[in-house]
Amino acid sequence: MVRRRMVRRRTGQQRTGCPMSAGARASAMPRAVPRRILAVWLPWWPTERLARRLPEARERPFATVAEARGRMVIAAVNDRARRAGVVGEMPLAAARAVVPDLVDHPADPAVDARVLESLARWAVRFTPRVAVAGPDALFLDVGGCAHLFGGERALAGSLREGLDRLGLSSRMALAGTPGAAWALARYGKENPTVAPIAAGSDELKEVLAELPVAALRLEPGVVEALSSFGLDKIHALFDVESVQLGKRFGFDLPRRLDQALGLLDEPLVPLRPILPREVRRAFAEPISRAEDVRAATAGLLGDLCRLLRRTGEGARRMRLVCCRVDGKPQSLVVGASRPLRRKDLLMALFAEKLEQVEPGFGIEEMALSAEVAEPVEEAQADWTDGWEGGKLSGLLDRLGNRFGFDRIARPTPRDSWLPEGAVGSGSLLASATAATPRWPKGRRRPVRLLSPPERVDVFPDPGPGEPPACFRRRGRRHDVRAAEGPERIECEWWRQVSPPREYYLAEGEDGRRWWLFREAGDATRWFLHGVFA
Amino acid sequence: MLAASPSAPDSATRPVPDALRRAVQRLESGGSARWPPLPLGIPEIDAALPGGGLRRGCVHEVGGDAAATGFCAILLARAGAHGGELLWLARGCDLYPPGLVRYGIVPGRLLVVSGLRRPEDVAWAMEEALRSGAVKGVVAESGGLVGLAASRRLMLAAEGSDVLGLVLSVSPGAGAGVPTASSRWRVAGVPGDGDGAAKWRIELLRCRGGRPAEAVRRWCGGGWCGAAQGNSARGVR
Repeated sequence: MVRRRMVRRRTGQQRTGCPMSAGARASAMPRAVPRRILAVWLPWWPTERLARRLPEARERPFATVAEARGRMVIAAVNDRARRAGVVGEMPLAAARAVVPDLVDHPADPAVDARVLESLARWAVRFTPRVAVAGPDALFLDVGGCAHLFGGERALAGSLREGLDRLGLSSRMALAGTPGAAWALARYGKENPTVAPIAAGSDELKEVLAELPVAALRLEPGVVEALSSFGLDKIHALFDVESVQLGKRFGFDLPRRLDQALGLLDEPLVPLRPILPREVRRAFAEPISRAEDVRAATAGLLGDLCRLLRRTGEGARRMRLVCCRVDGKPQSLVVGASRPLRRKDLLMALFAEKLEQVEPGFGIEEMALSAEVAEPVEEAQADWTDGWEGGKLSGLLDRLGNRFGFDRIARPTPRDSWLPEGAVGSGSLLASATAATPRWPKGRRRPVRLLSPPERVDVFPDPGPGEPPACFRRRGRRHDVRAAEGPERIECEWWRQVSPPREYYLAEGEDGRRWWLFREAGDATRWFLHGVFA
Repeated sequence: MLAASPSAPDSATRPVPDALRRAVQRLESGGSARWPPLPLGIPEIDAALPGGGLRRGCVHEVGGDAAATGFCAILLARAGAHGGELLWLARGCDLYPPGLVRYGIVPGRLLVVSGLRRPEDVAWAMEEALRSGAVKGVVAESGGLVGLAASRRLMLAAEGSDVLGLVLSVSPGAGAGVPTASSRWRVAGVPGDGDGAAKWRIELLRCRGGRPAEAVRRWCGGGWCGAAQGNSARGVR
């Protein structure tokens, strides 16, 4: 009686999590099909995973080692090493003393977990609801789909065949609860153990009774503490009140026990099918204001557009799911007549629909997915993404298509001392901002620059540092009335080796102003480089 | 009271000619009177221009030597003073933007199309720019005479927009390049004062709704300075 009450209260406290997890959804609705969980335990997972590419992990005593407290400790072993006497948490030196030819390999739990997840994705062929359970086990919710494989035993058999082909040993069990299935997979006598018993029944209790308490997925410390009290088998726990168990051994113990017996629901968190066109944002604080929801949607749309741009697609139908604190999902579906991936256009589609969102006590996570996406023709996306309603892009388009885009430039400053190198071309559509670099203001520069500089005759040569008095260009003599200079410009030695230049602003008698420079090489030469306005 | 009475009929009749003048201006200038004209900042020339400045939404022609390039840059910068893109349709590849900064062109705001050798290409590009309304001002370097038909097209394209169109006749002695130009200018350098600053003789040769004028000015960085000598409005013809 006591347990019943406690169970009910705990179920009430339990957080359902994001309602997108199928386990939570299954728990929310009445379950027509009895729940059947297939637990798969991979006893040699880390070493057998490595054995797929390292043959010595199969043929010789093999162990993965990790550093713990400043020394190398065995993390996982293969069957040969285990039989020779190497066990987990043994120092590597001690293990070598036992098995001199032990092959060791650094342990990598992160890769183990990642590969286990991909194994779980492989197992989706048996049921859509597959969950990873700890570092070396999987849960398959096979309720309602075992008959497709010819029954539960046949399903387990074909799963085992598949795992065998992958070189993975496994132990499996089928039960009404994940806890019981896990316990039986690890400590059951048969493989696979099929417990045809409904959750919460006395038969299930009997099946579990003789198993060791470690079968309840407990921390090693709790198992040790229980055994010190002589509570080795699960049936020993049946007689103790759960409050007492919780007080002495932590409330994890009664929870696990109830979960194994089916008195407490244990939702699985199955792997979500890979939806590449999905973005999500979780919030540190639940949001409820309309403008926050709007801003979050805009952010999600930006992320989604980036994602779609990478795949060259546009969204035809999108679903926005808002996960509320109270677990009730709210989803909005928006369709478009053509594949879109422009944030402003997509936001316009969402604008009115967002009013339908009822934040309730707050939204803690939002997910946006493009359920239907189609390729977008890459017709000059850069050009149409311009501003001013695309007026400038339209004009540039017409000019560029007639004259060639290489003829259009947006001159921007370039870091070079040489006058001919000081002009670069910026992006055509990106207009100047305050951050646009400027050409140095103090220096006089002509409005026209001759390229290449035109050779002129200066007579007589005024000598270094002296402005020219008159020069001849194209057979015509120009007298210099006034001159300003010299401005010395050294050539950039890392580009080309040429003599330094001395520039003069020379004003003619008629008011025309020239930019002349003297190249002080072996032979002094004068050039006309530009014309001032 | 007594002093005010003789002027009373005067002030009553005065608004009528002003309004009439504005109406005539509006008729003459097409739709371009919607946007305020761009004053040059030279009083004797601004006084000669209808509305006190250069009209937007029409095409003006500027001739002369290299000084005309600087003058066009000043006008273009004024057209884009409140933001917007500027376009320069260049005949060759010798336009040097760092030199235009002195005349107010902000780097990064100017788009340059270079190598437009054929007059019909220039006319087409200018018409497109005027019609699109995507730029605030456009300078087209024209090497020769723009035909009457093309010139008329330019005028129609400019009407109703706020784009300042400038045709820069680079080759000397090209004469009347655009027959339908709203105003025609000649700008030439004159011997300076020895400080390296540009000094120009700016002549307004012809202006629809205005009168010819002339001024000599130096351009010192951000503005005009030194009305030294030889600046005189030629008076009403």
